Amino acid sequence: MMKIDNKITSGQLMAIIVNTIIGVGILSLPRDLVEALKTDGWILVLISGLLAIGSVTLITILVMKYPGKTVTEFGRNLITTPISDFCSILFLIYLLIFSAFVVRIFGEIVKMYLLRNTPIEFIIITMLITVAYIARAGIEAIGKFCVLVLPIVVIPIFFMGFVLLPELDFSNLLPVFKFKITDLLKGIPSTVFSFAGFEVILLFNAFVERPKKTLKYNLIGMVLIIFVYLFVFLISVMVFGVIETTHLIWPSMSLMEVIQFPGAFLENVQGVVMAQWVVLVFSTLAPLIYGSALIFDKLFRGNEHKYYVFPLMPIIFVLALVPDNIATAYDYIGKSTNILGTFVILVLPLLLLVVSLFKKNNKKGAVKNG
Amino acid sequence: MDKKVRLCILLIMFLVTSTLPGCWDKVEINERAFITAVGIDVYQPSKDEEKVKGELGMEAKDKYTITYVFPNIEAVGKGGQGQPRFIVASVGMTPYETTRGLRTRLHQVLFFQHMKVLVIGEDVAKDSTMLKEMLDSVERNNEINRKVNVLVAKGKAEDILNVQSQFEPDIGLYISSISEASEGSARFNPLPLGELLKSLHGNKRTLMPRVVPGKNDLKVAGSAVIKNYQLIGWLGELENRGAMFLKNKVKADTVVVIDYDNKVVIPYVITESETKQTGTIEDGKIKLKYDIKMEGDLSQYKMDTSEDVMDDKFLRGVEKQVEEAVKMQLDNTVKKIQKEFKVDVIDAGEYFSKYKPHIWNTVKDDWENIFPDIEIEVTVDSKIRRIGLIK
Repeated sequence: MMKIDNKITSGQLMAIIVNTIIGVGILSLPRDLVEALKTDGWILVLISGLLAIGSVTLITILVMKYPGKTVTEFGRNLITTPISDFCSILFLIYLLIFSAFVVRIFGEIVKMYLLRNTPIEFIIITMLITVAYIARAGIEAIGKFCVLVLPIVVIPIFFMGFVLLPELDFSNLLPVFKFKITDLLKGIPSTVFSFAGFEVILLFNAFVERPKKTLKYNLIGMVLIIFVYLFVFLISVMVFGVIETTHLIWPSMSLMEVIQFPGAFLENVQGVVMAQWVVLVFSTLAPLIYGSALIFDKLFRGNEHKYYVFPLMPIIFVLALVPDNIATAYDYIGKSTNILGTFVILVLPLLLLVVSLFKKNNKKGAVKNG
Repeated sequence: MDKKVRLCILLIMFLVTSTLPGCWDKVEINERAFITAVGIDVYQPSKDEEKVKGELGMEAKDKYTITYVFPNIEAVGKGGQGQPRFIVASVGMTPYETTRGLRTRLHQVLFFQHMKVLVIGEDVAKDSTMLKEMLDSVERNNEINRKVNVLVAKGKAEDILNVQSQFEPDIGLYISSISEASEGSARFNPLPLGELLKSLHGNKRTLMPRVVPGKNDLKVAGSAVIKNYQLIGWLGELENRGAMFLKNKVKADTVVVIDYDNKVVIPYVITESETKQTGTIEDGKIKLKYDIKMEGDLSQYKMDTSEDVMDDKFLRGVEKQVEEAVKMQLDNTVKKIQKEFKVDVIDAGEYFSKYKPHIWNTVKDDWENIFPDIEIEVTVDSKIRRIGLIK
């Protein structure tokens, strides 16, 4: 039996999932939606959300069959060690690229809004070192941290809607239901990947103390994210309108430039929003980096992920700095999630689930036969 | 031994935390120039000035003159001395470069996050390339808030910023306060940067508030008509009010009607106004109907006249006159916008695209040419709710 010191609750797992998913995708999400479906982008959120929920259900059903084991471990039983290890390596690469992208966008935004003269390398290194600290501490610390951060992230997003009420123009959402089905279908892949991040369930479910409730909590988390995404989309479109939203790189960030408190006791809320957002990125990166260290560890059949956290840092750092500019950064992540993301989110869990069903039946059959 | 190690670690921590931290982006508050207003003009070289050859070998001609206003922090406080504000101007090929160029002449760092007002000179607004360049530069800059009020100067923006107001020494605060108090008047249309960018990106056209310099003060009234990113004309105060009526943005204003029978001037104060649009298409001709419903007070008549103001019939008569007066103004405005400027600054296109998409889809590609010929009908319904304290 493997010894596990770290335990989290289902609620903590939910917080981890929500924080991992929201991350940096939320910044450009309204633009992607508007580019795909104009005023009807919210339909795309709902449809992609439902697809993501389907995938989460699939993954959760799979991992519930193997409590206490990560995908790297139980995969070996199902699809033989070499294939499973190859899949785990792909998963690892995906997580590394994902974290590199998150940290790069984080650096770009901090440089843009706060620290104009600070080299981006420095911003990234400091962030990575801080994340490494919590990633070394293990799943329990991350779980607790995410639970702490969740309200700090979610409540201000909804609060923003109230502050912006005078700026909202509801007629910007008109006309409704004037889209082509082909546009809808074309928009789905990119939006589904804005829900990417829940695949960490494959790894973290192993640490859940009483996994019975996991499915329920995971689904609650996904619904919460759908609400957050819907809300941010609606607010952006109501404030900026369709055409202006397509012109902004990060519409959700630009919203804060519009916020003005009555009486002008706070003229610019930039500082407050940035502080909150840095914490959010931190809680996005922590599970991703911990997850990659965990895969590494399990690949070597180890029992201690700590040793693998720091060696991963230079890889992420270099990967983060590979794109020359922000346009290529988005280009690269788009391409890699399309291939690796589809594999990790859909192909791998589906494959494992099918094989596991097959194997179980086989066993039963064997028993009957015997 | 253990204690010594611990002491060593403590010492190292102390040394590290006290010597290593730093900030690349540190700018002390007294080294910042808090810009409150910026004015952009076309650079006009003096006659004997030669064109300068740039480093690229191309002819680098200065295009912009930009004026910056920032308060003298030392003079603002109690017992402060010196002039209350500084005005500096600089020239350059692009707005951003101009701002950077100022760094060679100014000991402070320009800081735009508290900017209140952006005044665009008439000449810049008349040049579509310059207006586009300038607005792109402003939108790209993350320091500039989307709440900044944008106005077009009648004449030069520089003259507006140089006005020595007796009410408020800081010209940026002065203009933005006027804009915020606009609820009392529909004579101009306050326009935050975000709104401006929104309508220009979408439609290439908009109405921008006009600011006219005076001797010791300035006046924000009327608006500049922008078509294809270019200023093509002005709307006067009352015409602007008409446009505001059509855009359903009137919150309060005063309409003056004359009672010819008794030779009395009656000011009617609008307290509430709502405009409803209905668009239809008949035999391929687009019809747009505006229903304006307003409520208001009668705020003056004339002492000791034979008329009884507190009389339903009399009030109905005044209402009718108000309706006629407003309708006449609106018809004039519509005519001017449709026939003279031929540009949809009253956002009729927006209305069709939002509420009548099936009509919009047939006309959206050629809206510029269709708009001048659509039929616009205005009906006005006014109610007098209060007449003050006396009969």
